[in-house]
Amino acid sequence: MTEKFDAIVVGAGPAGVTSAYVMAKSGMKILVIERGECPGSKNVIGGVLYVKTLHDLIPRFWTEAPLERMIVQHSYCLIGKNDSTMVTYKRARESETPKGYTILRSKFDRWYAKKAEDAGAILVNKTNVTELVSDGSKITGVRTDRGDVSSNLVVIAEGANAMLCEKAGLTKRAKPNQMAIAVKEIITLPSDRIQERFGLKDGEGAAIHYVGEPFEGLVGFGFLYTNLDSISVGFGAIVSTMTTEAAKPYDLIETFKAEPSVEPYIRDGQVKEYQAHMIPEGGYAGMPRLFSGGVLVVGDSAMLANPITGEGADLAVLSGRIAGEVATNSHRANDFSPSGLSKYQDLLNDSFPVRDMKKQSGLLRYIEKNLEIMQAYPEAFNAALGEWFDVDGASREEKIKKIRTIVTSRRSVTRMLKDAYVLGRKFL
Amino acid sequence: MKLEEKLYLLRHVVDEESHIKVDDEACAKCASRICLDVCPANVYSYVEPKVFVAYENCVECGTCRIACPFIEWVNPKGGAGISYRYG
Repeated sequence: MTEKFDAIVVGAGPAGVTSAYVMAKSGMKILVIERGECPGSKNVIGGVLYVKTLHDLIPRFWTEAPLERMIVQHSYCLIGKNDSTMVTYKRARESETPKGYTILRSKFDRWYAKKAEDAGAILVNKTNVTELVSDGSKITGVRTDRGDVSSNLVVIAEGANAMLCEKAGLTKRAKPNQMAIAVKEIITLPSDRIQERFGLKDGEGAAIHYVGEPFEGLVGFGFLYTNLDSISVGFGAIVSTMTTEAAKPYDLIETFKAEPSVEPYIRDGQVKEYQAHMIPEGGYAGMPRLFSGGVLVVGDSAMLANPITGEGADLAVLSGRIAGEVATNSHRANDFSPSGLSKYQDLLNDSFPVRDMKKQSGLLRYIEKNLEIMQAYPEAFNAALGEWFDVDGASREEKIKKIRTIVTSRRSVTRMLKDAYVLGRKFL
Repeated sequence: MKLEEKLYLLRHVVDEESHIKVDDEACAKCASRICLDVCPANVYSYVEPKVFVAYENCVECGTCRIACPFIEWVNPKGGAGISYRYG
């Protein structure tokens, strides 16, 4: 390709496509390069697409996008050795606008990329960008396995494996405690059975997050999401904690699926796809430099994911949008210098999700250093409730004393106060 | 369900060239062989004295590259590798 583009976007996931959509709409000449057979073919979603950031860009996109179920029900499940406790929040559908949907990436990403194409961007699939091309002072394009292409700007949206960012010196290879590996299965079940099992109406969906026993020794958690006629089930764990032979990812997902608090939901279902992907968990401190001369970094490549809320795809959209808007201004001013593009980093730092990430800095490190809390609290909670519901002749006053002993035997009062203080400060 | 059966469900476009290289010298000295523990697709196996790479099963998560600094892992050629049907 000998043509020159105003911007080249590397990767047709939600971050890259959003930036392409915004830039193309402003009249810029955009090329999106995707290494997969088509957008979404390399991608895996670990959860819910929260609608806020995409709705801001494409109002009521849910009326046209291929979505699975509108999440109206969120649960936390604490798994103990022989028991579990589930807490469920449910929203009455009629009274509310949507907050989040489950999606399947092969359908969703294709739809979304088509939006950018309709806005004027050119999409090229099956092409791998191997490096950025530089003239010594700034980036002037990309090198692909099908030749070089030049542009004034490159938006790096290459996903969790941020190899171009590393080559460009924007970041170092992520450390094992900055990334999580997630393994997931798509298990099909008839739509009406899914609705019966979770108590849902047509179009409604449920999400469950699990912590505790199956993930002993890991900074890890399980998840289960309902799609239209399938269930996504899996787990994620920080790579640095996945170091024992006993916890191979493919064995761990089987252990998790056999849990009494998981198995009844997926029973008689058929496994249709087994997937694995990394989730950037480096937080604010792990973020790369997000710009340099002629370069912007968006989405997973920019470490934009929040393990607490499961946000990721929506942050990809937010960063893509801000990058697209900053790029549009740079294009008008014909200034792709670092000082012009630095506005992207400033705007992103001021955004609500990045402020959350800043606030929650060190949260995972604290858990990693105090790994026992991942087991101690779920166990204490379950044991306490087990005692409470066991009518065994003891008075309620005696029960409460017993519960106090049960809880403090798992975690001392001093430790609990410290945990509450340290973890509480990440939110308050 | 066994991992082999799960991997059999996946659609790959196999490239004739491996996108993963291991460092035989480093592997011989390696005490942890963490690649064997973290890979979700069991791409790595150890048969004295070498680590073997079944790159055609790779699902491209990249976890091995994060776990082991000696693994040279790049994206497969454009259009090659895993192609998820659901995602």
